[in-house]
This record gives sequence, structure tokens and C-alpha cells, in this order.
Amino acid sequence: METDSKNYEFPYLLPPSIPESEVLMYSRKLSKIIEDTGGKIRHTEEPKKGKLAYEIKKERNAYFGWTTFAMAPNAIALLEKKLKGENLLRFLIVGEEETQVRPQILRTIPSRPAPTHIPAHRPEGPEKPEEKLDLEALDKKLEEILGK
Amino acid sequence: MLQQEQKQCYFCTTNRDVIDYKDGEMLRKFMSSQAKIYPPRKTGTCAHHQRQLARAIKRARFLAFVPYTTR
Repeated sequence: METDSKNYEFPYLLPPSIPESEVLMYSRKLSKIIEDTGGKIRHTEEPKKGKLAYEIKKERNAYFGWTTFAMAPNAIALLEKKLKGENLLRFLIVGEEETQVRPQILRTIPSRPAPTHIPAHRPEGPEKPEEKLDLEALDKKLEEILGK
Repeated sequence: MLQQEQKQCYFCTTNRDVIDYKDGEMLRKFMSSQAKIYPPRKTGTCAHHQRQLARAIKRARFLAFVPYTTR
């Protein structure tokens, strides 16, 4: 039983009609529901008032809180059913992804290969005469063709 | 060429393994003013993180951290 429990995250929005002093009570109530369903609370973040991006049930503000817990996957459906009866604007139960906080290491940006056309422009001793020779040869050939 | 230098994935370079759906402001950076999710070609996000990002934005939309649309 213990071994096949999974970690979940449970964010929720409480209606702003609740007085500030009672918000903590509500979050404890939700934690108790989770525990009653066989969950194990891992972390609780107390609800904070915030603005919503759009209206939910004619409300523009809400208290947002979240809880992480461990629970057997087959109990989640029951928990959802229980939570639907609560006075919540919205809630979500999502599997928690592994949070591995690695130290910030900035990857070295693979620098673009140094422009290769610059060396080609550099006048190089052995290359120039060859070009000249080629040109002369070309000229000779052209003259031959034209002459004919 | 419009894009001279190849952009790097924001999440790869900041080493954030999990994209937090609770961080609406961060998610908004990857959305247009109409609240559409930007394509990775615009943001340089790698395929792996683009999938995670899309999921995080959809969760954030449901919880009203980020709008579905703006008028």
C-alpha cells in the first residue's frame, strides 16, 4: 500500500468571500479531507490572495493555495469526488514531477565557428602566382579560340 | 538571414527541470498578447521543454493564472 502511493500536487482556488482569518482553517480542512482519504500530506502552502486572469463564478480575486501529498492512485477519484462538494472555485490534482534542483550551471554557448572566409582573403605568397598563371593560361586559351 | 544567432532553450540554460504552472508571469513570456502559446521557432525552446511548457500553460489557464484569451 505504502509502496504504490504516488506524489500529487493539489492546487486550489478559494472564493474571496471567505474572511482572511478563516482561510487557514479552510486549508486545514482540505488537508484533513486528503488525510481521511488515505493521503499523506507532504507540504502545504497557505492560501494567498491573488488576482485571477478571468472571472470564475463572477469572482475576479481568489485565494490560491496548494498542497502536495502522497496517495495511492486508486484513491484519487474518491478524493476528487469529495473535493467537488467543497466550497472551492477551482481545484486540480496533478501528478508531481520530480523536482531536482540542480545548481545553476550556465551552458557554454557553442560559439559559431570562426568565420572561415577571412583567411582566404589574406594574401598568401604561394597562392597568388598560381592564380596569375591560371589567368595567363586562360588568356592564352581565349586568344587561341578568338584567333581561330 | 533574420535570425543570425541560434537562440537557446530558456529552460535548458536556466536548468529548470520542471516548468512551474504557478509562475504565471514566466509563462506569459512564452505567450502572445492574445495569450496564444508561441511556437518554439519563435522562442527557441527545445522540443522537450516545449511539451512541458504547453502542459504548464494549460494548467495555469485552468487555474486562472494566465488567460485563455484576451479581448
